[in-house]
Amino acid sequence: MPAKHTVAAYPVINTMTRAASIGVLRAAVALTLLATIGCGGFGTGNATQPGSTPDQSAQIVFRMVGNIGTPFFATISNSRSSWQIRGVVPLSIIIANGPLPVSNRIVATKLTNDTRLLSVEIISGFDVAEISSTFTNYGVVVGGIGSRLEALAPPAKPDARFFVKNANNGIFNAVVEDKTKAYVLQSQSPTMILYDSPNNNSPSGRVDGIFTEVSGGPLALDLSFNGHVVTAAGGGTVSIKVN
Amino acid sequence: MKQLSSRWVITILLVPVLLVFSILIAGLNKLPPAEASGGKGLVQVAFTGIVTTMPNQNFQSVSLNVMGVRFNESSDTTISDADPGWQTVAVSPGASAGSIFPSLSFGGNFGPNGNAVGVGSARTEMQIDVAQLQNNLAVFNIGKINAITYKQVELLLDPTNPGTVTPVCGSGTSTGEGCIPYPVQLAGGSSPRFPFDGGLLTVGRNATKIFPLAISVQVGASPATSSDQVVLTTNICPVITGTTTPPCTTFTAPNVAAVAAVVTGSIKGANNSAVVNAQLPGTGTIVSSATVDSTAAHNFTMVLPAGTYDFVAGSGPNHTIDAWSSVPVPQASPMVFTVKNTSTRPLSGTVADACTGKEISGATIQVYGPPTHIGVGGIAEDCSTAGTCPSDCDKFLSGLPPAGCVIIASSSTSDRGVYPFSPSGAGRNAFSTLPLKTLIGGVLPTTTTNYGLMGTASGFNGELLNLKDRSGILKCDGSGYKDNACSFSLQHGTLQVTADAGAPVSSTINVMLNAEDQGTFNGEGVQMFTIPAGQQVAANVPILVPIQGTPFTAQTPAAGAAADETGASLARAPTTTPTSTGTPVVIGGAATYDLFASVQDVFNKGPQKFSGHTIAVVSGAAAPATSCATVVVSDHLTPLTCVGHGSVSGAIAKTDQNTLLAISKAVTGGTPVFISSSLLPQTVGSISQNFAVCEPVDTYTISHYEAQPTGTPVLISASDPVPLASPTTIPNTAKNPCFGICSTGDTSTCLLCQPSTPLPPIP
Repeated sequence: MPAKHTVAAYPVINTMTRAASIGVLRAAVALTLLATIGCGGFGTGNATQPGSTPDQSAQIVFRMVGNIGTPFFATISNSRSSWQIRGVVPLSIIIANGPLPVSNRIVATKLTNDTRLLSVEIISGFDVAEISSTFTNYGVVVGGIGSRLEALAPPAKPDARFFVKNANNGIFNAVVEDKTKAYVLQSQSPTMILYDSPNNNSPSGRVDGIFTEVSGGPLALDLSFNGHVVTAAGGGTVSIKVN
Repeated sequence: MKQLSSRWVITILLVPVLLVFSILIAGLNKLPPAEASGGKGLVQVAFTGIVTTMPNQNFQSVSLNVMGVRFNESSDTTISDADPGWQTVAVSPGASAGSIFPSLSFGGNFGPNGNAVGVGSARTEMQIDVAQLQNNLAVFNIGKINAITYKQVELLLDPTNPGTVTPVCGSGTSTGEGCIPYPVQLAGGSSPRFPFDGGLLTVGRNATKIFPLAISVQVGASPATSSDQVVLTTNICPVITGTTTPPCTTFTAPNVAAVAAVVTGSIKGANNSAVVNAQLPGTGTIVSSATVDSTAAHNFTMVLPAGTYDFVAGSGPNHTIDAWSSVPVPQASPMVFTVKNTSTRPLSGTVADACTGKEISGATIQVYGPPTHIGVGGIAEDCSTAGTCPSDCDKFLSGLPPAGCVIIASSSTSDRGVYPFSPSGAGRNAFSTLPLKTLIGGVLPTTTTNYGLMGTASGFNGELLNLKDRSGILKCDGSGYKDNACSFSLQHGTLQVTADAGAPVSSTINVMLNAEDQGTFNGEGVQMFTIPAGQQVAANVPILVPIQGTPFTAQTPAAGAAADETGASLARAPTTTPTSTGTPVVIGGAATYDLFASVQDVFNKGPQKFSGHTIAVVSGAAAPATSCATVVVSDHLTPLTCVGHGSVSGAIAKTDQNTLLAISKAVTGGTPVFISSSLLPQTVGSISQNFAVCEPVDTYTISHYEAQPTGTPVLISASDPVPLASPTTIPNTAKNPCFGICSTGDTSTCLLCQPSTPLPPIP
């Protein structure tokens, strides 16, 4: 019996185990087919019967938008980890640690004394699940998705972050992985990818990523580990790692 | 089973994925031949609005989530969302008003209209507060669409999440909690459309059209429970000043002509990619933008709220930049900017913490340049004859760049503290093409221009550098960095404050700590901390703040200050000696700070903007006197008690674009601490309500301030102390579901906030 796939469950983030890469291939092919089906390009149906690949949760993105260049200080948390981020608009933030905890939460403060706009959009798959905005001095925006998250979790440790940037808000594909799992995603630059609890929280385990430009010009990437940028790279297809 | 590496999988996967996307993108960008032959033109869309509520209803905000504005050459309002005739002006990727991101150039998109959704990352939306649009105008975006005549416009709202309303406590007949956002449901179930057979909008090839759109929102019944939706009836009408004005039958559109201005003009010497930005004076905040047309004159048109603005016109590499300072609009005659060919250079650098050497991400870097025109008596006068303009912007005798200098470029630092980082984009960024010269009287001078360069970051003292041409290379003398690189090493001190909840907390609470200049609502720093369950105190919470110095008077580096490229040893002792030549000039911080702490509460599943815990305040904490110093604040932030929401509504009799509403809390033995400030809707005439305050139950003072964008806010009047009504406690069975702002999960009782007596009008 063919696996059930729906566009709503479009597995933009996909989990891979090295021992089951063939399953990954099936899921990846399914992703391609879903892109096709979703756009009505090549008919409908599950023509290749990709097997029992389970649906994955939709990609969740915290997108900071508003007046370009507006600085902010954000705290993002799920039930496992939290992260503090200082950045500027625009920025997309993705937590890559599937299966994602069902509770995710953000609070961000604008860091200027003016009427510039700061908004946070929480995107689940292709839908904006929640949006919050402020125009005020040091105004606050908040948001959450999933079930109630009573309190913010302790800071991620180790804290691995990929920061993807290029000049033209370009689109990129990526695989980020540790020694046991890998995640496929696609986003728009600039994006910060937070890799939660890599290698079962080992401080010395390897974390790496492979990034490929789709549009917008060559990529520029930084990989930071526990608050320090440990390596940087750039180009059309980029591999980057720590440990 | 064959083992495949994930890299290999991705490599082979990319081929079909890219193939699919390339087909999609190619298909979407392909225009019908008839339309393509007519070319494209630009439309600048702006919003104005009106909100209607039922009797005794008061709302803290009424927001719509706008995906775009789209046009169709058919006047049939029943046509499909998928009709290929729709042409969309989408929200820019950054969702900022005024920025130029022609919607069809937002690469790699697909979606209902072919241009509203970024692949794999959903669409960007702009949340607009309709109340703030009253008698006001907000620029939405510019879009490039087919150059034809359109007969229909649609305000494209998010179909699944079209907006939110935040009622005050007990609004109307509401028995739901107040001061929390409620989802809305659109009456009729779809985004509003407006047809006009007479021809709604005709877009000319390579020309720019202005399209102000009035939005009317009628708020339905208040929520009966805390899980209700609120019905919004939304209508739109175009506000067009052309010869044929479509009839607006559903509501009376606001008189946008009284508050908006259409600015026209041209840029002499420009190329087809030239841009004019209108900015709030002295801030670099772009309110509206326009690109020139492709005629020899390079004309432009833009709409923006009536007021005073800085204008910056540029034409990319190897061109001068023409900046006009503090010019009121509308002007009686077209604005004619001039640019000429000259050498341009890139500008870059780093920003670091002077105490640790660590990079500072999210810092703001601004370039101040001399204007060629300045507003005098309502008229833009040529600086070559007016004699009131600064010729250079690196004289910091006042502690800031000279009055009249214009921010001609603004950028930020990346995660590595490197600028320029944002705005992203390959063009229209003076950091990549800063001209060495500025025109004087339309003539290119023999001397190069001296610029002012300012670096700022929350929690740090700002710093100024002079930026000069040194043999064809831009340098910042005295920066302390190797070869006088234009990099910053920002000073700061640290306050340590202890927060005391007043009693052990039953569950973990997360608290936002803010520092601001004493007696003002000028924020300086922010920090988040936690009080774990069972504990009462968070001791010595650190927060970075600027070191003290006479505000905005210059300070010079200490003699012999060591320097290195990391900035690790660039901490400087403060002085108060102004200087016209030595840089960097450190912008002094306040002598004392106010601190306030606000618990980040959750209602049902959602985190909330408005806390249900008492906001703890400390007034007049002494600022660190020297760089890298730590001051322990003797007063504690206490209590942080669950008290529930409270609200009060009222009116400030006359408001304008500079009116601010500030909320403060008294401190025993100290000055009041401001806990929030906000803009007010621009209401006209006598009204009973134009603001609604939501805060934790406590006693507050509500003040009316007037502030020019770059000036110090001036107190106009203040209310008497206002005690907010306390909530009632309802049993879990009284409402379904029963949630309270301080509830932790499913509790037997919860708080339901209550309305306070409306305030008498505040002058």
